[in-house]
Amino acid sequence: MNDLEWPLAGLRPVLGTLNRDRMLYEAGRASARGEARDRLLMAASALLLVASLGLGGLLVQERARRQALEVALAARDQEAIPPSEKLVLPKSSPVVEIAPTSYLALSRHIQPGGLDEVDPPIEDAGQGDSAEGSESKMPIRVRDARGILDF
Amino acid sequence: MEAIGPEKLGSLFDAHAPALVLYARQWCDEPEDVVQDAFVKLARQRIPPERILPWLFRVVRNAALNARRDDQTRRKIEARSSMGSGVWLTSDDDRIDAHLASQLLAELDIETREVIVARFWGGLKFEEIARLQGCSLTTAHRRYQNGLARLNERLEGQWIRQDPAPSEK
Repeated sequence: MNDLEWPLAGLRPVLGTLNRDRMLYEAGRASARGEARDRLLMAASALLLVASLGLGGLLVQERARRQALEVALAARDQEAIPPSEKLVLPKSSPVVEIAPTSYLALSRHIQPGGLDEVDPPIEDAGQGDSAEGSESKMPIRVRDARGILDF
Repeated sequence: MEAIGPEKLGSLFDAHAPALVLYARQWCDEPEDVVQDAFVKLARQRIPPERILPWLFRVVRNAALNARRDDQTRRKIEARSSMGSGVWLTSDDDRIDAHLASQLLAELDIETREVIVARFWGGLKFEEIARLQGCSLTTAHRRYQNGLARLNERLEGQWIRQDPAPSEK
């Protein structure tokens, strides 16, 4: 204790109206209340856990039962349908031969390029004498102008 | 580690309750309630704090500051008991005027007074006081020394009652 502290050495703080026994009583009561609350919380937690597990088990059981029921109902429905209500496929129409020079056959030959790409008729293909002749007959197409023209 | 038992609580109360009451008295009008609540709170701790004394001082400080806010808002006029009406200290030595010492202590600014109470009567270390006040260790130490010096200045000639008869010791 230094020189500055020694005058305070003879002084003690006043306890006032504070009572030791009352404090101990209140502390004990609060502690007991806390323990009771802890026990209640633990019991509530355990109860909720059991309830959750039970509900989960019931859910699994209910799903399994529902699935079995669905299968059974589907099988029963399948058996219950009368033959008259069964799905009847329409009869397919007979295949008709198309003439190669008919409009339908020709239109099927049309390429994206238009009528220019339609194969020449079979009769015309046999009349050409040489390859030069066939090349000279090839018309110049409009779309060739976009690319390289080779005359 | 188990909760604090009644014997330990009782011994803590005997050793530190007066200092804690004096500490709480700086902020609120009902320091006894604040200190009792702090001990009750300590008893409820399932794992007691590592350093109980600083913990008690912190709890008392926070509760006293809250109580002061309440006091300021409602400001009840109550008839106080003579024990708590301004005598903060008591002395076994008749030569020391405890009432005057209490008055002089009360006149110190609150930070200085807090350091003196916590250090001298509370027995806290300067590091713990600095942590309580949120200041540096140097500041806490300086406040303590300055406070004691100011007390001594004011107490010169009146701190110790002049005893007409020479002391036997």
